[in-house]
Amino acid sequence: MTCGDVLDRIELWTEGLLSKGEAEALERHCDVCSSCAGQSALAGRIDAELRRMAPERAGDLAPAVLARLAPEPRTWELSLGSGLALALCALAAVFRSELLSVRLPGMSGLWPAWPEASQAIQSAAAIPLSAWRTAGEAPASAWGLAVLLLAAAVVMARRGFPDRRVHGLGEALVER
Amino acid sequence: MVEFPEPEAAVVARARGGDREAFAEIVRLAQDAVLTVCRRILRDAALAEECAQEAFLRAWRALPAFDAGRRFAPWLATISINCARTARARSAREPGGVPREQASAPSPDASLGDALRGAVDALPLPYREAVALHYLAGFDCAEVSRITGRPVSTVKSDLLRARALLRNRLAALFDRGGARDRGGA
Repeated sequence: MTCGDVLDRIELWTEGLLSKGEAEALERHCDVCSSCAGQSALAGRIDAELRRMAPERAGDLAPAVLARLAPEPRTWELSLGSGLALALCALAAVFRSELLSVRLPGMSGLWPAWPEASQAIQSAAAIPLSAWRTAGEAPASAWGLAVLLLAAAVVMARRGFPDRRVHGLGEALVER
Repeated sequence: MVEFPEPEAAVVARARGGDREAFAEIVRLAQDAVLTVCRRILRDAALAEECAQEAFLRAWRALPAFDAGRRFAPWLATISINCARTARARSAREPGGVPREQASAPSPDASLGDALRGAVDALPLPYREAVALHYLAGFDCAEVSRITGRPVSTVKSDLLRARALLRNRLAALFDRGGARDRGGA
């Protein structure tokens, strides 16, 4: 084994990754070559030093981190948000059942606004619920969006309900 | 070495539920480890502290999605590494942003630990990441692979090359006391 071979293999040797024969050849070389012996000793010391390198000492980061978190939602925000979320869920459930009743044989596809309305309300309900779960990640914007979606859904409902009651369910009953 | 600590499952569960005190407990437990990794990657004390805070903020936001069946330490280390990479990229775009500290030749009066720290800071980024996660944070090669997104074989060769570079760099310093104490296998 030459000095070049030894230098190429020192790290493998330190890790114990050389075969037994190669390790013995390397050690035999180091017994007679002071330069390579120094290098192998150095590799071992570097390995040991790395393993006991002192960590960086942080001050207490917790107060700074907590101060940067979104403000905790207040009780009334949570109550309002939860109430709104429940109302939206109830509304979505009503719309979903109406939607199912529309889809009688021969009646599906007459009211394309209802699936969208139902989907929108379910999405709107998911936003405050999700925000509530993550404890205050931008709750105000979630509530605002939920209110807007609720308003849109109500407008759609006011346009659609009377027609469907008359034509949808009424016709289905007449057919029966 | 500062091993990435594994907080108690109950504390993690409370933090996942939005308990800020539980999260503060996790921050206090892991702050040295996170800071050490960020410091070695960014080579700047102030930037590293800012990055450590950012890592904890991201962890807080991602906690609801954390899989309680997995280990917390590699998850937090992954967030820390990603934060440090982002901070480094952002810093590189700023005029005079990188490198904050140029690696210099080890001073003859420097302690071995100081000289080694300086030499680690002079390593290329992938080697620094591997060294920081394996030697300083105590992850094995498979975990380093998952955290950094590099194959295990690459991580192993990065570590070997990093140590060879460190040996070359520190040869002069160590040779002064170059005793024949092979600390190897």
